[in-house]
Amino acid sequence: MSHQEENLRPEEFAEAAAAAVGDVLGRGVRDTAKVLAAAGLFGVCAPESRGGLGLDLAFGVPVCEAAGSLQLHFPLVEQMVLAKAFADSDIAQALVDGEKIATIAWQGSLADKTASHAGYADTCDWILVADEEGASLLEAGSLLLQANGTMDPEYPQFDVDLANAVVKAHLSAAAFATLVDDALVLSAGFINGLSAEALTRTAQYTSTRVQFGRPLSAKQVVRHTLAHMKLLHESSTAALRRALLTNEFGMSRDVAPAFSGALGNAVFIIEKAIHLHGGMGFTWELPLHYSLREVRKIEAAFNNGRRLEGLGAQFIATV
Amino acid sequence: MDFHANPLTAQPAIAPDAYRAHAREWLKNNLPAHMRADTLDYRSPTLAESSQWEAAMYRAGLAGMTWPVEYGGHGLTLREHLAVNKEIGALAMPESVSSIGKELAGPIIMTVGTEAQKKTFLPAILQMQNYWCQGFSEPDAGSDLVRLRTRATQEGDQWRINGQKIWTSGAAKAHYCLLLTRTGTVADKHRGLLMFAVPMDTPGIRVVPIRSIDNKESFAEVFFDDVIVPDSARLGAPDEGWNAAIRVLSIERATNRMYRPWRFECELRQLVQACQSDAQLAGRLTESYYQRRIGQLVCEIDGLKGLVEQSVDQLLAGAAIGARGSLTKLYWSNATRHSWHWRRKSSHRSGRPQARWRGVPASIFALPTCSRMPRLSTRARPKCNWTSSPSALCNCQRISDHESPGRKFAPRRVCRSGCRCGR
Ligand SMILES: Cc1cc2nc3c(=O)[nH]c(=O)nc-3n(C[C@H](O)[C@H](O)[C@H](O)COP(=O)(O)OP(=O)(O)OC[C@H]3O[C@@H](n4cnc5c(N)ncnc54)[C@H](O)[C@@H]3O)c2cc1C
Repeated sequence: MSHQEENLRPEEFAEAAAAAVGDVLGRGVRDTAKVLAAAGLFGVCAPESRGGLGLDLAFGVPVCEAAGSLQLHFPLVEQMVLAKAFADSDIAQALVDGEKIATIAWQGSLADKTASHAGYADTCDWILVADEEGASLLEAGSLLLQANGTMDPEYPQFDVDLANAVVKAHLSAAAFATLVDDALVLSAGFINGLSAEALTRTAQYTSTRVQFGRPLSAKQVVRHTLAHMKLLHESSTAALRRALLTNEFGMSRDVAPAFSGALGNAVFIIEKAIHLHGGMGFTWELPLHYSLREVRKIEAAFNNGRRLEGLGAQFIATV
Repeated sequence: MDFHANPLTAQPAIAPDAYRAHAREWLKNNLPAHMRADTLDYRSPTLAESSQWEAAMYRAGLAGMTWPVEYGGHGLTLREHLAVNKEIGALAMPESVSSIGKELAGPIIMTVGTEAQKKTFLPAILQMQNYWCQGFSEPDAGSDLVRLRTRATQEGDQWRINGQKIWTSGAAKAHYCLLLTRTGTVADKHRGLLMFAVPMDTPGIRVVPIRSIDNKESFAEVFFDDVIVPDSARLGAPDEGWNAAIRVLSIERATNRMYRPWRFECELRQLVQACQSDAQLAGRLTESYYQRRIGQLVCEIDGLKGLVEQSVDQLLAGAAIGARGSLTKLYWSNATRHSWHWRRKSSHRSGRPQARWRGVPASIFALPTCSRMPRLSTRARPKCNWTSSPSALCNCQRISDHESPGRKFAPRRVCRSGCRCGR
């Protein structure tokens, strides 16, 4: 496609994305959708025929990183992967334009008649749920929603009663599997954005907060902790970058380790960031807890513990 | 040992995928079974065997990939270097016995050496004719290296060197020492640091091995008593060598042992294999706890691969790597610690030795109770003050062997009573 031929680089998207996301902070969900759509963010990986930019997933990563570092509260990853997955229908166009908002219930299925872990479901038009063949996009109006604020009372995940679900469209098993892989990549970008911001904030704070006559970051143990946080963040971004590149033999790579690795590293980084802010870190006002909640929600939604077991079992099976 | 010739070295302009395929094929066909730590035939190779093996690897185009052709290298890029390292890591083969030469001395000589030094030293390193050791650390200069005291004094067209190095890996087998000295006093700090390539058979050099925690004698104290070297042994002008070393090392840290994540993966495979060969441990592999731990290690390995490949891309793009060069080493150290912790945990419960996993871990598994390491036991040991004078070490009558007036540290080894008198 022409953009790639023009030597566009994914990093260049970060700045534009950050400006757009910065613009929507504090706005309502519908308003947010309009602004982000106008900035072209939903359609980065959707086809040009549907109003998108038709770029590789690698171009979506900096967009999600920017959203993570600014703690955007919107189902951005879901909107982006759905706009890509429904490339063959008008659904993509509606999502790219921000006219419709969609989310995904990451657990449960149509067959179970119940699903869960759907973020922002109360403000969405459509919700994707797994079915026996792949996944179905459902009309949100046909569903009963129950907020589950265990991990995040302000931005809860929703349990969804599917008894009277009205199906809008289907995704095949293969298309759904691709969508999940895409979501792992973009979510890893979002998670890395969250941890990058926590790290930056902590580095700034510890360099200005004076105790024992010196800034905290003058203490070696604090420097070591910051260095370790930085190390983990670097490895997360390097692993994600690698996951998107083919190997020497032109084969694509499994994105799952980069996703699970980013999660584990982000938990460490953000928890340490909270710790290094002392008592202030434990206050509601300091927004680091939002980041931790986001990471924990993603961890639960994608059942990361099970994923790690799967990675382990997969490795064992190859020996 | 008979190693097959390499069909590819004649055509260096080959793509990394072909180079990787060549490396895989060649290593698979040529690595002797007794050098594979994941086979029952494994035994520690002798120095001569390792040397022969590495020389053969070099001839097959699997060492010195990025060094210029005129100095014996293959004139390729970091991409081929990385491709080969992936295959080196994938096999449970021995570590290089010449890593200081290949990873440290070579690149420094390439940067500050004279043409004659480059022509003499570099091909010999790759052909495994010369081993090097690194004489940097001293008893009073460890983390704080600028406190080093070993002195080099110019006398006409030669230099007189006096001082002591410690923890010098491979000193006993080395032909040359990459020696860091100073021309002034400790107060000069970074100024006046001067580097030499010193032949280890020069009169006045004495090597005293130190027994290490794994019951080996892989490092040593090295004493320099009025050692005279010609000016041609100098590597760069005062300060130049040191500054180059710092510069070179920041890149080297990022590029040496790039095989780490692939070796790590290989070791994890060995561990799984070892577990599979034991009924009790095999059951454990089906438990979600252990599967999850392995999954976490897989993620760490992936992160490490990402860092390595990113460094290569950055260096190829001409970016300065700086302190980021240490990231892979640091990350690898942490990941390895997690891995060993898990390995100990998974085997301790059954207390079984890892029959099919002989090269690496035996000593680690056995560490708490190993009968070959009585000196690690908690029984009372005679006082053996590291900084005291030799006569305070013990009363086993061998003090005169290593006593040397005016020296702060005496050479010490481990005697049966637990001190380091050498018995
Ligand atoms: C297996 C092995 C092989 C080696 N091979 C070589 C070799 O070939 N050539 C060579 O020149 N050297 C070699 N070394 C030496 C190595 O580089 C030194 O051990 C290292 O520089 C540390 O110095 P030190 O041992 O004197 O410890 P010290 O500097 O005395 O440090 C002791 C402890 O204090 C910590 N510490 C030091 N400074 C600080 C600080 N400012 N704040 C907080 N903590 C601090 C250190 O991290 C360490 O844990 C080798 C060491 C080992 C273990």
